[in-house]
Amino acid sequence: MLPFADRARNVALAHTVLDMSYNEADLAKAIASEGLRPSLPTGTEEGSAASASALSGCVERCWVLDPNDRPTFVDVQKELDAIATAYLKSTGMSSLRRVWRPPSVARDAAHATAAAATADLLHHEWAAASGSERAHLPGTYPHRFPPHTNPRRVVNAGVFSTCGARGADKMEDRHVVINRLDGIAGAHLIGVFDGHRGHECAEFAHRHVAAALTATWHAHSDPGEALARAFQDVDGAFVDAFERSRADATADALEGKVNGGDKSGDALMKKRYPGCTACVVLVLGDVMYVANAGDCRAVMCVDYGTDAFHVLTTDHAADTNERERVRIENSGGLLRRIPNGKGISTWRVGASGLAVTRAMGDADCKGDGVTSLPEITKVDLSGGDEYIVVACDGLWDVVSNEECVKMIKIR
Amino acid sequence: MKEPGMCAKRLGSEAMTRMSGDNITVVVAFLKDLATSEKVTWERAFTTNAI
Repeated sequence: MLPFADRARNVALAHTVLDMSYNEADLAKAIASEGLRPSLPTGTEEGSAASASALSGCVERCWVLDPNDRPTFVDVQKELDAIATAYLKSTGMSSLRRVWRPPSVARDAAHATAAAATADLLHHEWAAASGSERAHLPGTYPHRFPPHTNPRRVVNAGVFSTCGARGADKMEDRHVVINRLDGIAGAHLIGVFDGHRGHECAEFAHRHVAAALTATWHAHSDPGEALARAFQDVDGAFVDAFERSRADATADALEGKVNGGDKSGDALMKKRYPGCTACVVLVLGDVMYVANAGDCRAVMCVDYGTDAFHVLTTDHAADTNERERVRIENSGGLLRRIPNGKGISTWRVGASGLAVTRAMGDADCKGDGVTSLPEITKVDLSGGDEYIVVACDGLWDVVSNEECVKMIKIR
Repeated sequence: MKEPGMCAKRLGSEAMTRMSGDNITVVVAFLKDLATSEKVTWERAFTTNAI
């Protein structure tokens, strides 16, 4: 069994049905109305024939044409349990127990330590802007912002997020969608954060960006400025928090609090400088502000009929953005071409070879001109069919802006 | 359709199909009520070839 998304991969199993020149629509038709079903293997090994036919029977009943005749999941689970029991008995392995790991005090303690360290790292109190700047009623825009006139503006967002080919333990993307930001009708926030060198910075950023923004936006008259400030505040807070947690970990290690198994983790922690790129969209009534640092991208479709779209951000990738390379050069940063393993060399920033020129975190690259100062785009929203797509480079590496807009239309 | 979650899924699974080597996160946001977005009929879902 394979996820449908994996159908084009070079997995032998996926080719039995899908090679037979069905396109998606034909396949759906054939399954739904022509009774196309997978062919099932029969057992060949001694003793496995009975379980194989029992399994096949179960699969076939799950594929019965009339959905009402299909077994429920509870039934399926009972049946599978029965098949497994029968199989174990027939092969003389019935003494085997279910795989179950007994509780381990050491493991629980290690998990608790790790969880506490993360909680500490992720905790931050945002001090509100002081004095008269705070004078604002709950659920209203900061009074210094230009008037925002459409409290009925709604944002309907949907998210798809996957670790993709990198595996679940290497999931460094985070996102946030907030409707009615700070309780304000018509104010919405969308953010995509693509972490690198660890997930910590993206984790911190997606948790704190809204609080950082609303804590200080009273001090600004321009929402774009407020967003830029929030980016830099989150960046600064993360670098401090990570430095602090690293210092704690080192101190703990010196005092021998942490057991031997975690030493490699500490060593890793000492060297790592997690960072993340960020694209944050702030909708305020009929105005939208897009703040971007790094190579996430926001695309807005402005006319549903003609697929007309605007790209709202510039990718801050060292390899493709010459303006950013010049900026890095002018700030005295290190720029080099590094082979990417496919016979091509790409521009990279700093000693650690960062691919992006703007990002949160990345404390070791600040001296090379890597900044969390975002580029801000202001968009006036009008009527018409408008939607935005905000995605990390995992999408844009393989799907062009045009294709993206077309796919949403056709779907 | 035109349900933002499905649009995002469509884009994300296309990226996986194209062997994107990285984590993939897609947010699709309609800047208005869903009720006014386009509705896709059953026929259309089955007669339009996906790209």
